[in-house]
Amino acid sequence: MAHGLNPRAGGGNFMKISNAKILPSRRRRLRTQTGSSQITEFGAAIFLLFSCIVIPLLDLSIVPVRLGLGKSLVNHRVHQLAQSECLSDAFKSLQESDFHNGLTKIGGFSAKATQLSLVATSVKNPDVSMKVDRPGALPNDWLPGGNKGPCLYRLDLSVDAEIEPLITAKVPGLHIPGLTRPIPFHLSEESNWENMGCDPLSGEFFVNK
Amino acid sequence: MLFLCIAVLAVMLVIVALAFSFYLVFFSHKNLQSRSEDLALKCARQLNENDHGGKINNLIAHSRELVFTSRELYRRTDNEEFRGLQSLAAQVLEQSRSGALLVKDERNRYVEVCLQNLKKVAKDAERNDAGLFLSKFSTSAGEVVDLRVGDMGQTLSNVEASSGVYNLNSYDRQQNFVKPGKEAELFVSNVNLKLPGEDSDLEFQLASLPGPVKGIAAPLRLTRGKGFKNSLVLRSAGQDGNGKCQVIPSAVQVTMAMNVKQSIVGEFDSKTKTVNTACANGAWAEP
Repeated sequence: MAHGLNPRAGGGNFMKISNAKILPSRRRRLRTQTGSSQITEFGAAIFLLFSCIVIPLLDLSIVPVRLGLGKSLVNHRVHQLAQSECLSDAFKSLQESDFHNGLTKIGGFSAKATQLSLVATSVKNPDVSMKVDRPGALPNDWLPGGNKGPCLYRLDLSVDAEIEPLITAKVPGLHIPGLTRPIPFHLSEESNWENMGCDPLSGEFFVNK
Repeated sequence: MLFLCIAVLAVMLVIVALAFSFYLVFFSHKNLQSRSEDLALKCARQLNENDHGGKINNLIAHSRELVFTSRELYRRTDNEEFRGLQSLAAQVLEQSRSGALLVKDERNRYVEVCLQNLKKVAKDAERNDAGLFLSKFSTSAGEVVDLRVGDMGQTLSNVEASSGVYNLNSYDRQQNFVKPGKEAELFVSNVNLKLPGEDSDLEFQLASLPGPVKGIAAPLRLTRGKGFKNSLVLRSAGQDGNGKCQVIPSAVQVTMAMNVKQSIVGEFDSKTKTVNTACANGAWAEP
């Protein structure tokens, strides 16, 4: 058309050839204008998707799994300890057992400190409770038949732990939990004390023996 | 880009499904654990319900004392002075001996009834358990694999030694049949408390039930199972067993198992098992 050719005047074949030649070049021109920018953005988008969403999610998603496993282990252990014959047995078996190693076997879970204690709560006044961390320390008032009684006796196992994400980028001087250092957690599980009997030989309550 | 987003979403969904399937496995194990504890407590309650075991223990000790005093009475009639009462003393002795045998038979019958009840409780627990069915996750009903009765290795019974019969008391001390407790001397358990002389053929065995201290009876409880002494296997590997117990058992150990099947992510079959031990409640104070 630019050369003054009229298609009605027998220039039909020429038009076909010219369209075949021009249209691809047009398409190429269109791609060059917008498509190339999309290809450039694609790389950056993928990088952002993986670095800002996928990897952090995968990195942090292991933390609740480890926390759940750790909580389950602590709960199971305190339930076992609450079924001991006497309180000193419970303390002894916690010291002798490989509890810390058991927690470490979860992977990325390190127990820093463990504390076992017995909590007596008055049924008459549930706001009042007594916490002891060694056998024989419960005052007479808090024992079965005592002035504060009847009481509920619960064994409490607290663990201070640090849980690592999948990847920890250790940067000296920078302490960001979950990124450059493990996340600190405080786990505390309770179980009702089972043996409410009394030793027939010594007359001591097993809950305080 | 769209394809990649879908792929990432799919991976995330697979991870969530995996986590969910693991959670269900843990949940089903915890569920089995709680059912097993419940069954162990139900079984332990059967062993000394309404303090029948404690009362039988006291009856055994009293009938033993009666045999001993009847024998002493009979021996006294050897004396010229009481010879006329010898036939009466022989009758009293015979009655007290047959009374001791009767108490022993009743004890054995009580143990049998207890064991039958335990089997029934275990079967009922299995029957009432329907398992868990989700579309891609299922657990079978909890099965009682092992059921054992025995004691926790306690050496004392609930029976207080009577100091009224001096000769018997000194004989018991000599034989180490009694141990000093906080409030009174108590008979040892799971030992044949044989009488001296002609009455040594009689058997007097007490169950290891804790007695009341300061008026408080030991309640029913779960225990760690450390020190559990098995005296009879009622069920082993899912098969009911037969046998007899010499004394009233005071503890029960239950092993339950369950199959867990999931096909959320691939096929996964596993078997979870729990072991729980419970102690019967202690004896009450003798009226």
